[in-house]
Amino acid sequence: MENVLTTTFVTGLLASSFSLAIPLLLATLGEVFVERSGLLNMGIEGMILMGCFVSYIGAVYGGGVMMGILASIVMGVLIGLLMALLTLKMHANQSICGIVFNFFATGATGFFNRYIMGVSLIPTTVQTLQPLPIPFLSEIPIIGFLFNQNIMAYLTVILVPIAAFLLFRTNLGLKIRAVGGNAQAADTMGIDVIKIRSWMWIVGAVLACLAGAYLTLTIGLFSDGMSNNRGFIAIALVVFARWMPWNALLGAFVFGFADALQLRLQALSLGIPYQFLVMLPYVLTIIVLIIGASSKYVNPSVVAVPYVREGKELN
Amino acid sequence: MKKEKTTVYRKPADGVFVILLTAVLTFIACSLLLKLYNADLGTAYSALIRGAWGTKHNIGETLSKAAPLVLVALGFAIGAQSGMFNIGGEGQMFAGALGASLVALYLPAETPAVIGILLVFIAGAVFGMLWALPVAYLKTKFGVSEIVMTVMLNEVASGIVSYLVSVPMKDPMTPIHQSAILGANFQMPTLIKGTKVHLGVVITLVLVFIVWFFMSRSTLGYQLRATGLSSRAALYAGMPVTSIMILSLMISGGFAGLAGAFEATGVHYRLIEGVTGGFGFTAIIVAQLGKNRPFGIAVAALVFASLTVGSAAMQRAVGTPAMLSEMIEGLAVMFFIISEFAVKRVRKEINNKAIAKQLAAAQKA
Repeated sequence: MENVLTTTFVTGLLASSFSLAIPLLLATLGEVFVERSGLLNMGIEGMILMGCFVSYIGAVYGGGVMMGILASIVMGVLIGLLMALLTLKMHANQSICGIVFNFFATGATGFFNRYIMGVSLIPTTVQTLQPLPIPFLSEIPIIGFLFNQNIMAYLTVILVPIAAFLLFRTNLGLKIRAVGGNAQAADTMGIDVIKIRSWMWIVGAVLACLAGAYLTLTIGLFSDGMSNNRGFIAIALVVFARWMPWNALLGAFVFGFADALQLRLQALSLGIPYQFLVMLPYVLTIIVLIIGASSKYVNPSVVAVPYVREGKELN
Repeated sequence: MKKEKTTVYRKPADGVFVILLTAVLTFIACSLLLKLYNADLGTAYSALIRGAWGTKHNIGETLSKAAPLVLVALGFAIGAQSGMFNIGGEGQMFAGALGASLVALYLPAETPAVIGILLVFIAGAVFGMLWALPVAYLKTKFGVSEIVMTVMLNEVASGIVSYLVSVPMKDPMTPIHQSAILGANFQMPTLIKGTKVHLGVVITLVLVFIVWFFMSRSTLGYQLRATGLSSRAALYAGMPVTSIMILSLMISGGFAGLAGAFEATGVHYRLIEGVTGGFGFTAIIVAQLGKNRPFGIAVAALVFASLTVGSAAMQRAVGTPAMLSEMIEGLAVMFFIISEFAVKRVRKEINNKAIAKQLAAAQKA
């Protein structure tokens, strides 16, 4: 055990925890907004995968990282609009739409990847995001890696206080939370429930797609199913973080750490089954759910309840 | 003013329109996608149909793929009708498969086949139910979202099975992570030689009828639906709403567990990491397409199973990736939602016009 816990090992572990946490954090922040407005996005998994794919295609044909990111944002907006159309306009069940989207995304990314890129043994790689070290700070031992990240990682971390400010210090944030807390009351107060929720679908989808873009643009290629359950971890994380952006930052790092540790344990064979670490995020979330439930903590958990104005017929 | 008999009603044909519109839209989308690969549509579609229904073996393949979809979807529908949204079919399938495998591996091999199969049946259902029980309890007692809870438990179940088949239950004779072959007397017997049609497929068919009877003809089924429509109204009517919700989620889990047990003992003959085959999730959209009704579910499951089996044949015939089937399945459900909305809109317009005409006629008179 002593020869494992070296400085290099710890630094490496922390650094890879951080980089595994970034996509989780992006998707989770999106889902915080989505659930705060009373929606539930079960399709994050598929959205991340779509983000992976379009950013890959964007980077291959647009010739660079920026086109990849841009492509994933555009795709996110389109997906958000689609989900808003299906669930808010047509009143289809949110969970079903999310699961359906996961299916569609798995199929569509696989299909179009083969169509556009062809089938080859060596996949085309794309330019990856370059680290932008901050002078002096990146030289600090052990935690220096925090200041040697790529642009998306920096922006994602900056997004946390922005999200927290937006949700809890602005009029818009109050509206979002009002819509999630009691849609009928919010509507009575003149808040356009459908409009707010539509925007939240778009925010959630764009951030999930950006999470996908981060994956592709750090690895440099696309492979089938590369979202690898991160979407479901994000759903878990939102609960774990009690719908708070700052907690999401902490949670994403914890879950990223479990993931990084799991990858290393498989290599080290220390006798701890890696499956238990894979399960860890979900088990932690279940515990949080149970504790939260018995402590009478008020959740914005009217999630997935559709809002229909009185007098309007629910389809 | 004398009372006019209004002619505002929903024609039963609307359901047919929805299905037709969905089918046409899906067909167009599928054809466009096939055209991307310059595939000859005739060759492609005939390969699809022959791949799914062409030979005895293929029919068996399709039926055996449809069976778990039907089972999990029936379970989902029973939960959904009472307002419990069980996304945990996948996890409950794992639990059921585990229960059945434990019985089949650790009970004496000389157990008579009849008892063995009965035990597998019971173990699968009970394990599935137990895996759903905490969800039902937390939902009814504390209002914990059953959707989020079941999603978490899916991953936990998959992790547990993955661990069990890679260490304690691993077959030492093979390098792959899988259990030993299940005892012969615990395996679901194959009913038609040369096909994958096992006893579980027939049991599934019987269960479709039983669920139909249960939901639409029994008191408990009625109470279940009443709870789903309005739990408050059901409570005022004196129904034991909490027990009904717990029961419906447990039945739901039991069905999924049964599906898992059949997959382990009738298809793979081992406990493996991918024993659920993703059916737990597909079944949810099958239930949606089948409108949570037993016969609708059976038809939708057959369509999805045909697509899955047939698309493999299509891949061999015209070279389109097998992923096409997943994309088409996703698209089909989206088209279904859109078609339902469109048909409802048109029906409303027609009704509104009819009312306007009647009003005008009444005013004249």
